[in-house]
Amino acid sequence: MIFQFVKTNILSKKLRNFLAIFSIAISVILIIAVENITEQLNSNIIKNASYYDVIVGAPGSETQLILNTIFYYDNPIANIDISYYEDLQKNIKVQSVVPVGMGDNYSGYRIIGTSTAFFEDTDNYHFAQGAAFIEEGDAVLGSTVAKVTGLKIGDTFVSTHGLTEAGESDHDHGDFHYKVVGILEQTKTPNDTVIFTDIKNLWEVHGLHHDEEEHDADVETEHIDVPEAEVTEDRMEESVESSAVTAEKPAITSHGKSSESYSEEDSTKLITALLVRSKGLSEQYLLMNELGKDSNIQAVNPTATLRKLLNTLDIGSVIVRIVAYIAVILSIIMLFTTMLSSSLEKMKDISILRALGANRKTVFQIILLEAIIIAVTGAVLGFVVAHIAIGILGNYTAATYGLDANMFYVASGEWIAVLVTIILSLIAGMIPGMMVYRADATKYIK
Amino acid sequence: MIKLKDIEMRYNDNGQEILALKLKELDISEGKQVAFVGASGSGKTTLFNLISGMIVPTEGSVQVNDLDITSLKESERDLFRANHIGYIFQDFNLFNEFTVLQNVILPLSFSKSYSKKEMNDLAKNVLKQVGIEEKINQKVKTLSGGEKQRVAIARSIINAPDIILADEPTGNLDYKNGTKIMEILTKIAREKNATLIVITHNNSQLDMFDEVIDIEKMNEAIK
Repeated sequence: MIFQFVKTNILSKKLRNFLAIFSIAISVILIIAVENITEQLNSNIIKNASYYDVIVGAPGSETQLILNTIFYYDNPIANIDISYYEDLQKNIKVQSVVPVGMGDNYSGYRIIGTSTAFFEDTDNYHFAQGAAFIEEGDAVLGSTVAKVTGLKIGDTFVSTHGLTEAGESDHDHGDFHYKVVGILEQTKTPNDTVIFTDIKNLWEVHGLHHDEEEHDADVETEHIDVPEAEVTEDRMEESVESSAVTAEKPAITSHGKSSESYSEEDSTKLITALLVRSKGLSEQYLLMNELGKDSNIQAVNPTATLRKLLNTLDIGSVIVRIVAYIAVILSIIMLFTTMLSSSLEKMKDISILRALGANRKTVFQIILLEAIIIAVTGAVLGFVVAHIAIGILGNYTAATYGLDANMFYVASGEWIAVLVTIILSLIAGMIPGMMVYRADATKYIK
Repeated sequence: MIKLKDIEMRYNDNGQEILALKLKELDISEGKQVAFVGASGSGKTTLFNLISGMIVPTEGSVQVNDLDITSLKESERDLFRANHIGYIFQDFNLFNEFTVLQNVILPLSFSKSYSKKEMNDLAKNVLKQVGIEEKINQKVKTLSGGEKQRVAIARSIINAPDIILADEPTGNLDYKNGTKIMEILTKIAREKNATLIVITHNNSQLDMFDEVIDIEKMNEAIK
């Protein structure tokens, strides 16, 4: 009977109670959006970067090096010489080392030059079809690339110069054909959004390109992406000139070698970065120290650098979090006023119930149950809608940026936030409930 | 048997104590049908609330069938009301969004435990007695004033009360409906041997009662 009474109360004021439920739901959505997405994205970012413990690249921004090497964002700082790769392969502190070269693009998807060790190193890569590259021109597609471009095993394609949206470019490399030999399963990482090939293929394209006498003068000859160090925002003209002569521009080499001393063939063997997995923590420490002495390169720990970056960005999420909690407080105030006006309106009904034998505890339960139903409905609705939205958003970010957000993932702070919302809602319901509990029923019945 | 003795009922009105009711003695025998008359403010409703246990007197005692309800805890008085008192109000005080059935079984849900079937059977039985059984599943808001008061009577007798307290039960009804309701009420109370106490301002109905008590004359607080 109590439930029937509460149900009637709620349904008799549909709009008012709907607004209270809606405001609680919005608050919960905001909190979950902040807690869940921040936690998932942070954890995915760290997870993506955590397999390799040292990244070696050209000196410059640590963050740029990592974002470019792991997440394929932004332009490379500069290239480093292959001799570093060769030396690290022999280094006893190194378990594995994988080269990374930023190539051109196909349909806007970046071509990454690497070695087959990239796929063998971790369990993260499984081939949905085909296998890793072996022959010259072989390419392996990330799942999103295969899905969007429609390329299948055996299909061939030519790369387009640089990295532009949807492959818009003023010229392509029709003289070098890539052939699809493998398609990776979806990893929901940035690797879904790139094309892998042997780094030698990038050098090959580079070499061929050098032979193109008719090549436009305003286009760079370096096929490994134009390094950021060579292109400044305020000096576009200069950058074009700089790019146009990249073959002559010295790459950073190891052991004090000057790039001028390398042959034409050597100078094309450039790499953007090296992904290194050391044998252990102490080896990592020693390796970082060792590499840190070479001013021509930088060696960074990706996890530590990204944590630093995320901590800086966290200031933003703190502000959003504060806004979300203010929204919660406002919705609780709204619930309180809803329950208060509802209780005052129901004072006569409650008094009738008291005359018919209901005790104070029963009428308190009626008011409290009403608040619980509104609060829990709002919280559950907010929880469900937020997670559906995270699922939709996750599919989008996974396909576009290779950063997944799982709709079934529940962040650690989420339960607490939902629980706090419900508890505050109960308090908001308890105050009017106590008023009804203490009311003199004889005043309201006639 | 209802026995009120040395009753004093005081209220605190903004820090000022007001004596609303002072009654030396009032006895009402079991099964009697009594009308309380008197001007507004004479203490009739206060007496009702004392008999039902809604309030306790500042001084004195109220006994119902040898049970001193003034000595009971509030929760015990609530249970006493659910089991032994039937209430009828001038404004019907039904829940308009509830069906007739839901309104009628309300007191049972606050008293002893009844199964749903028992409650439904009892409701059908009392609705038949007041001649409104065919409207059992209708929402109360669709009923006429006379029908609503029949539902209120049905609700007041479903717990087989020892005492039925009716506060101007015909106050919102026309003469014809009012008379009919009073006939039903007195008939049922007699059949069930329930003590019926009615507050009324309708002198034409006074003949129906065994006794008419002028509270205004008894209340020493307003003398």
